[in-house]
Amino acid sequence: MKNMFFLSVLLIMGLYSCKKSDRKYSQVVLNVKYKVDDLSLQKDTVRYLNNAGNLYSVTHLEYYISGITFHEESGHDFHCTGIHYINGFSPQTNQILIDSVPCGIYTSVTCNIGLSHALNVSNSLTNTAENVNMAWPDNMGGGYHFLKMEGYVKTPAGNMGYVVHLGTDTSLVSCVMTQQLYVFAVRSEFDMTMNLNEWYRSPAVYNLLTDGNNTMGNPSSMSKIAANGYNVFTLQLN
Amino acid sequence: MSIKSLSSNAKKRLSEACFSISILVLLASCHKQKETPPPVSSGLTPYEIKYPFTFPALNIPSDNPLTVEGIALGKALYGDPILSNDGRSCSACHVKSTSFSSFSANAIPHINEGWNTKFLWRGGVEGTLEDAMSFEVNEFFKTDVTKLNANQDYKARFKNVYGVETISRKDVAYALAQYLRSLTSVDSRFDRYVRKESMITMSELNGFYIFNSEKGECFHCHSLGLFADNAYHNNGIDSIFTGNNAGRYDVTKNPNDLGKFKTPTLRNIELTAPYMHDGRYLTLEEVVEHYNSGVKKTATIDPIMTLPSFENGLQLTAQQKSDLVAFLKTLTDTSFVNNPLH
Repeated sequence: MKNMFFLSVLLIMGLYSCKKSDRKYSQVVLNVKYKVDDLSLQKDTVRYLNNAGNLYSVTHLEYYISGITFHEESGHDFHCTGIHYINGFSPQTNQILIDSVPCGIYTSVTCNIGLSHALNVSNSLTNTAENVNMAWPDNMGGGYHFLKMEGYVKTPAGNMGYVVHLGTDTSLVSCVMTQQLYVFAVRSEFDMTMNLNEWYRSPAVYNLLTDGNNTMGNPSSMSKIAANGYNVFTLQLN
Repeated sequence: MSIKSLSSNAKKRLSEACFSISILVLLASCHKQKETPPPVSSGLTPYEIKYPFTFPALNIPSDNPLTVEGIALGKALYGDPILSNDGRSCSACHVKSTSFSSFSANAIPHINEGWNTKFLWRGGVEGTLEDAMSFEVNEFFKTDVTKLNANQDYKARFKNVYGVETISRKDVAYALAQYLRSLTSVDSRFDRYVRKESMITMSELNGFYIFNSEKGECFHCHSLGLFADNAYHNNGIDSIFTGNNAGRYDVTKNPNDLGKFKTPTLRNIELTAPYMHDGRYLTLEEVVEHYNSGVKKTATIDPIMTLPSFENGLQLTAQQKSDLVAFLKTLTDTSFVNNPLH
């Protein structure tokens, strides 16, 4: 009881200290994690089952996150400008640091997987080795791969490769993470977890065997996967 | 062949390829944001590497800045059997006229290695060029530095470049790394075409379209710029992974790495026959035919190699195969192999 009282006092003090007049700021850390429904993500193991009934593995997972926006209860939004290259199997790329997020209570966070039209221009990003390898051919629209997700899917005849690649403006993925976030500490850490099965779940079930095991150059496949990506991430306090 | 004589499909593809090239040409005029090179010791002459906008930034370790003197020292060591105990030198296998590769040993060409972080066909060394050269000096050559320390010319040059009284294996590796970092090939016919300095033929342009689209699927591993992706892949040349064909598995002992090898650059590919890790293909035509009809599907084959477009091979026509080879030959940089500084 005593602890609850002190916590309430601290929360009220925290809220008071973040009034608009002298608003404080927090460094927000998003630790990007992965799962496939109830299973953890392990490279190169054909053990994941999606809603289409595909048994599949993941060998490659690269993507960009951009346009991170914190939506405040009051209706105010905090927009971040950073572009973050992420390799699911390279731990050092799976932490996003966002400085100077205004303290407050946020009701949701949105972001893009991929790059907005203005950013999705060939050679517009710093030429790191990763960005160079993410280039999307100019004769196919130019810009960058938004997502590279590859692996194998089980078929009656044995394992077959699948290559889910997204790129070009029409397959930009808009993600919504509805979660109340209290951002008051000097540094606030949250887990941002991608459930890979969501890519194949809704609003339309995507079957790697019948909808196509290669999305690149196939606008309808890319659109279907991109639309399914709206809820691939969930947020929770670290 | 005139443009009028092309089919509408061919015209469409040609126009897409032209669009692609025009974007590259436009971007070629952009200024590249350069990394600030690390400072060099006084008395030494800094050396700057120029490279195209399509290359990633070149990272140079702060403790081994490039200098004219350091590169010259590395070059001398590269060609000197003093490095080994059996009369071998680097240049015995990495021959300049074949873009610092070797016909007999099928050594990986020493070009644009400064951008790599994975070395040797199986990735036996990962890290910087300094790490790779340390492996060569310590493990491959087992260099006896007492011989170098007995050589007054080398002693003076190492003192000048690295300020050392006694030459160590690390100093030797660093000098070699400087030289290898300077071996940049960036002036092929294709580079000059991108820079709007010369033309390529319609066949070559069509080959570029095949290369840089789902038709050929080459670009995913041989990314434009370096024409490599600094990664390991099983490209379907074997179905049994024993002996020399086990690939990266030899290093990691992970069964998922069976048959995977480092993607070699395609720059100067015309000069670096034979092809693949064991030199099984003697010509570029044989290589293209492998992707066209000879891919072997196994558990570790790269997923890209099992796409529908690969289901029955690429099914390129004879003309398309010829075009693809023609494009690959535009990546030949004769100024590189004729450069007296190399």
